[in-house]
Amino acid sequence: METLRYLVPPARTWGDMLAALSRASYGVEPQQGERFKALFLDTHDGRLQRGGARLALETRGLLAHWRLQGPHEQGSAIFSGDPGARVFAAPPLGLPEEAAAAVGQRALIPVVAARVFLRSCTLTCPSGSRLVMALESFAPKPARGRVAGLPPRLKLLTLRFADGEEVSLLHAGSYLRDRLGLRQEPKDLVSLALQALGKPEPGGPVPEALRVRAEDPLALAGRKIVAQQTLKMRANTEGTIEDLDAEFLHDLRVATRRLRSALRLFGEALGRRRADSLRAELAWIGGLLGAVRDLDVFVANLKGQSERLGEAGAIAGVLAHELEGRRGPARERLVSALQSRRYARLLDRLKAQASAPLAKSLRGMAALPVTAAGPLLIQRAQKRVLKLGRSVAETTEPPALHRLRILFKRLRYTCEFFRDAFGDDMEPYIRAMVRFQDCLGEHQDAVVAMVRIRDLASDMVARGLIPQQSLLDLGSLLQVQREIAQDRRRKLGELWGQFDRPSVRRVVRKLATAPEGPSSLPETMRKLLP
Amino acid sequence: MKVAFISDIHANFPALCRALESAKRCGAQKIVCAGDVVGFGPHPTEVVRLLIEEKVACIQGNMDRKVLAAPQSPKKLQKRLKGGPAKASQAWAALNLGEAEKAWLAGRPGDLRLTLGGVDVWVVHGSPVSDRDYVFPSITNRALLAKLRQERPSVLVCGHSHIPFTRRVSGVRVVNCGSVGRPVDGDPRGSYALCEFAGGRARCRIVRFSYPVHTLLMDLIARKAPSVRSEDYVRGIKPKEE
Repeated sequence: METLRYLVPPARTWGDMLAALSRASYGVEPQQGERFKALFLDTHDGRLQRGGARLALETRGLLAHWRLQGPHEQGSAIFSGDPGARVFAAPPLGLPEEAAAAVGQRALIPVVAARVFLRSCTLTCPSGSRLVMALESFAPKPARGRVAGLPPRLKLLTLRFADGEEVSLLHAGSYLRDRLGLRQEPKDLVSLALQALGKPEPGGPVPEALRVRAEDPLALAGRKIVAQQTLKMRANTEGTIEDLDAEFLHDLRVATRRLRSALRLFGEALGRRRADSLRAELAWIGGLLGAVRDLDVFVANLKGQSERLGEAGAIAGVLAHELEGRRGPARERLVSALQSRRYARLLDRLKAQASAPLAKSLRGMAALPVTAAGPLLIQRAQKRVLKLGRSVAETTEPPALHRLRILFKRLRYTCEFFRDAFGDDMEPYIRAMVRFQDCLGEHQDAVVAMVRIRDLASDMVARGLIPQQSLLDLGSLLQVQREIAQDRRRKLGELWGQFDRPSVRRVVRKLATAPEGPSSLPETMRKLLP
Repeated sequence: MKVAFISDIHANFPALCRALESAKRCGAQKIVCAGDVVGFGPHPTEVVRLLIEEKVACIQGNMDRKVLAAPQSPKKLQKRLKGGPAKASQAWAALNLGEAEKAWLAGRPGDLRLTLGGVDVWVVHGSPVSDRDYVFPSITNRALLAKLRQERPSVLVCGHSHIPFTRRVSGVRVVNCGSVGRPVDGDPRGSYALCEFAGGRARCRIVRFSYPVHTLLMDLIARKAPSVRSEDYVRGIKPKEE
């Protein structure tokens, strides 16, 4: 433990802390104080935050600096560019090395802005050890949009070990905490600011209260999963509207898919009519999201192939450019839907569904604990996958493979819904499933791409946007897609073998025969099961 | 003048902070500690430093004596760490108490005889007989006189049993402060005795205060300090094996 953080009550001042420490024979060395503007950034999935790092763009007068506070090292670099940018495209120049490695090719998105007053000093403990103490007083505001009412004011005290005995850090920490009534705070400044502003953390973990537990009745587990995915929808809506990163849209789409799947799966436990009506609304927004996302993926594939094919790939670039033009209207439709009352009402209805009180006496499936109902729901989804999957051969038509892909997705989502309850037991099963599903997805993408390239090209040729002599290049582009489809189809057999084998199936069987599993239920209860 | 008598802090820093705050709020001008500063809790160093900072008059308790007398060899201490809660926590405290704090603790007397507001006050840890002997609320006149032998203080202040009470027995005001950091009477709140000395008379009462038990439990885990069960702190009870 090299750093301790404490949330300081508003009434406590820097002077109070220094006075208390002096009374306890701590030596206080040169104090520094500075005011600056800070813009905290992270990737859409919170890669820096999850790694325990914090990246800020600090502006003092006309100068701006990147400042990284990582779990192991600190970094600083001069920033050149517009500190007021909406998004910092990857890779931002001059980013400290550790941050650049964590960020990869992702864009950096402003998360929180704050005016910070930072005071710091070095403490010499009675034992001779040295610590660095810093107090950050800040008034955070959202990086985009406004916050209703007065912005919250927060004070965060950080104690960092410098040299000597590490236990001195604990001594000083507990002294300040208990003498001055500070609260030990595992969260850092960005998390605290987001919490105070009521904004979700980028890529933040599922809140503990929403994790599915083994003993939860199915009705409660269903509500928790609806709540989890609704939270994800809310967290990704703003980024999708502002088009900050394509991943916001992807995550929003995945959340709507999972919600539809959850509402189908837990329909009985949640109330069938309401669940069906919500699913219809989710299908509406899912369709709009899919239209933009499919274009994004298709354009990215075409651009990749344009680079790979060299001269012959120029046609892929032309097609990509045409598709990018079509993305605009699709996105406009999506944005107006996301800003509509209908969408706001959908989120409110989902929230109401997630927080609806449980009936006093649950009946049937809804009353069964996750340990009993979960394995059966997984087995039911698995049965459908195995039935269709075992009939797949080299000659199977793409629509049947697409159907198999959908069944696989449902099985995967079902497993993932209960992941928290069953822990690591499910991992090998999910891994085998993901490998096969990814391969199926790539096959499906290549098949769809062939059709779309043909349609798009014939449309563009008719409009005279593609010269006749480029048609040969188009053939090579189609050939690439054909080869991808054939290659993935060949791999399918091998990956199916990895999924449909006794050791993997045993994972689900083991869940079902666990002491608290469905086999332990009395006969009357088992009759209720599907 | 008002004096707060505290005892059996047992290295519980959040409880000591709350006790001192409460005593100051009640108007205590002086704090006297009846021993057992360390042992069981995770904050031996912090507690001793705060007693020094607050200039608390303090005596040694049996636990302090044992911690100071713990074997000097780290190997032997490691072996003791695997023993019961009391032995293990003594060994842990011996390993974690700073040298300056040990020296201060070693310099504390076994008892204190004070004259406060014209009243003769005798502060001992267990009883006048020994720091391992107990004075319970059920003590009889005869038993107390036997323990006092020839001495006749106006007020006898003690701790050790962790059960607070104040009673007049054979003309002596007996005050047991209970425990600041390790209450065992079924009330998880800490306790101390607040006495007002004026005109040669003493008026004493027991004060209870609450402290953040979860902070203590978190620190016990974070510092890997051996102690009694968490439940005992939460419920304010004493396990049989202690």
